[in-house]
Amino acid sequence: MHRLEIDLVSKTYRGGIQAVCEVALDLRPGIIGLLGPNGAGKSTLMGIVATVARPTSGTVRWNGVDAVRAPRALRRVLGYLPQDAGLYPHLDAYEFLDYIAALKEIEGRSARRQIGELLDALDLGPVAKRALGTLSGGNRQRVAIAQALLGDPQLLVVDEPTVGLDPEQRIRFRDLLARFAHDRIVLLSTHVVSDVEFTADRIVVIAAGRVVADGTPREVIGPHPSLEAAYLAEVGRAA
Amino acid sequence: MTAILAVGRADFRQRTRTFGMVVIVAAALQLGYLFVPDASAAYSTVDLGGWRGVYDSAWMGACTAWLCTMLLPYAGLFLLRPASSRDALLGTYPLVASAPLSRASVVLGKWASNVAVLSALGALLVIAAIAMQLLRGEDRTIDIAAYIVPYLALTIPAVAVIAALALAVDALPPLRGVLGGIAWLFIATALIVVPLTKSGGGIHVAPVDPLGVTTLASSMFDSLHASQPAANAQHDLSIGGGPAAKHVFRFGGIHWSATMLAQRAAWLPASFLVVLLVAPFALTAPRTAAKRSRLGRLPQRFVQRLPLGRLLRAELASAVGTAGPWVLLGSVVLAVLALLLPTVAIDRAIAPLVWIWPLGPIAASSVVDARANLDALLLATPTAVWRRVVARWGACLALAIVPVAALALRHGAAGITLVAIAAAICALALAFGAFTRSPVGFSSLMLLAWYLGPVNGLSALDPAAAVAYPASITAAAIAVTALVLAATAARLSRRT
Repeated sequence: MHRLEIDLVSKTYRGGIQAVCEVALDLRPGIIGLLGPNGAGKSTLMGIVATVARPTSGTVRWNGVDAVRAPRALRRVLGYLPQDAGLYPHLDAYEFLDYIAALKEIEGRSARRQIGELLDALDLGPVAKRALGTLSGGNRQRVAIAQALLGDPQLLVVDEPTVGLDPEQRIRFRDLLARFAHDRIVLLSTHVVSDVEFTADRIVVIAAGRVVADGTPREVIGPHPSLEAAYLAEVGRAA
Repeated sequence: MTAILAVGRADFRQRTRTFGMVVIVAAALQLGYLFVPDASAAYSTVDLGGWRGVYDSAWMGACTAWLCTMLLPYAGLFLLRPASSRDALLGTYPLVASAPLSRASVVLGKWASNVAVLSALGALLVIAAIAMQLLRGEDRTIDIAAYIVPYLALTIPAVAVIAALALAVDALPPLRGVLGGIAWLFIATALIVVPLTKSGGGIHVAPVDPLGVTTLASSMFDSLHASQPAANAQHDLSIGGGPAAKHVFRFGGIHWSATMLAQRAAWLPASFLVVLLVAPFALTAPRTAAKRSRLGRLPQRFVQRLPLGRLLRAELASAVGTAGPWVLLGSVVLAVLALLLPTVAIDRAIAPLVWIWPLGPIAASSVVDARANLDALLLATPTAVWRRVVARWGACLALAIVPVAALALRHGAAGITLVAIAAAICALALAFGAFTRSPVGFSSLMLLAWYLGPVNGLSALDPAAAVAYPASITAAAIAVTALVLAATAARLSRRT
């Protein structure tokens, strides 16, 4: 069973701005919803887990291997969707996914099969041959999600993945994640409570760079009437 | 008025808070230093037939004005050309377009920002000149007016004209890329050269002289002849790097008349008028990929069928898509002409075109990840960054190689030098893209190098001259390519 350890990770940017402060999480397969207001440090933490940012202190371990010192082992099993991810405007969806598949070192035949499956799963078939620069924001976001899912990643790090999706697509994406997360770790960052309310196995609330609540949805809700109320109470207390 | 100034202030801040600006300031200060050579130096910068002025405030103030007139039009290439299309580049165009402020006000704000950027650079050169006067020590008496008046009467109106013309060039959509840069080089040169050649047998103040070069030149010659009647210098003015001046004289400064001042001041409203005239055409919607025709996708479809590595194929498809079909067709036409035309035509016309033709697409390809906001996503993949860099470099080289290879064939085995130079240029493009995240630095530097080298025959920058030393230049180009690609990969591997 896979294990992701975030061990007392802190990140201070130049100018002394502390984005993340001694975050410690031990993550096992399932959907982990990372909730927090804008500027809470979610994206910084996601970047550190995805090995594109270095922590100022602390470390991240994937199955016991230090991913800060040796990121390649983690990158081989990673699917990453950064916030505001871009796409090459002159490639079409298929070409772009094939490019990412090459970067993920997925063998050609397997890549073609996976791309076909993902285009179907995300309902991108009708626009697969259109230049990405001509697609709507929602379709581009679905292509960005598809690239994260390529390669059957064991660790999926998705930062605000539902931005730009219509309500129907949001529900389809949640269902897709629920099926996908069976034996994988899915770290989903959002400030939209409904994105994780019914699908997450574990909720982590982060505010001002610190973890202020961590547990199953039921544990986090506690005495509050809903997850949203609990979230607002925790964030308010941290402020 | 407040809104116009607010637009100008924001634009000024955005432009000056960049690494590119630091480089420009450093380069300007270095030029300011070199422009005042020591008495024992083997070169002169402002030479009147073997004479130069004593390094006092009058001469230094006038020389600084010369330096501004020579430097600022070309600095405009870095600073001004992308001014109005910057909003499109930064993605802020929709915000600007949807704002209630009139387009004329926004364009005037951009013009004010252009003026501020170049004026600040000019002021910096004035301060550097004062320091150089004290450093050289020929006359340490500082006369501030001798610096300020030429700055106000010559440099500021010149800056206003340059700023307005840069907006005019940028207002024409076909000139918003490399073509605009080429046009700008010729405009900048014409602003300097044409008034000097139109001023008749001698050098007199020309009525149409936006930069004020004839005012400067005629003042200097008048002063020389007044103080040194025996001087036989007629009108052989040399600005730049001529042999060291044999004699010095005391320059009496520029004697400003009311007419001269009025002529200079008139360029301010004239510039303002130009800005108002071009305002309806500036800040128009940027061209989007959505407008690309099916024809534009044909070369990409072709590339996708090539039996190449998947990385290279994808990079090539992206580069080809960025270039568009007409650039590719132009490359083929140039290649055919390079093979068929006589040597004279090749040297004068085709070779310069070959070296400039793919510059825009290569510069754009070098920053496609940054533009598409893909850096983090790509870094998180297990593929080593150097593989991506090499694939991108290969794609850029493929854009340039067809006409360069045709040119190389005419030189036989020595032609490999040209291919090696093209490879090094592509590597430099990637490095500039990785370090600056903008195509402007690379394309501007390459435009200057192209103008001085292939167009004007400066052998140090002309690939045609490099063919005479095939072994050493090829080896150097390969070494540069390897080093620059390694530096690029290191930069792109860096985690925040």
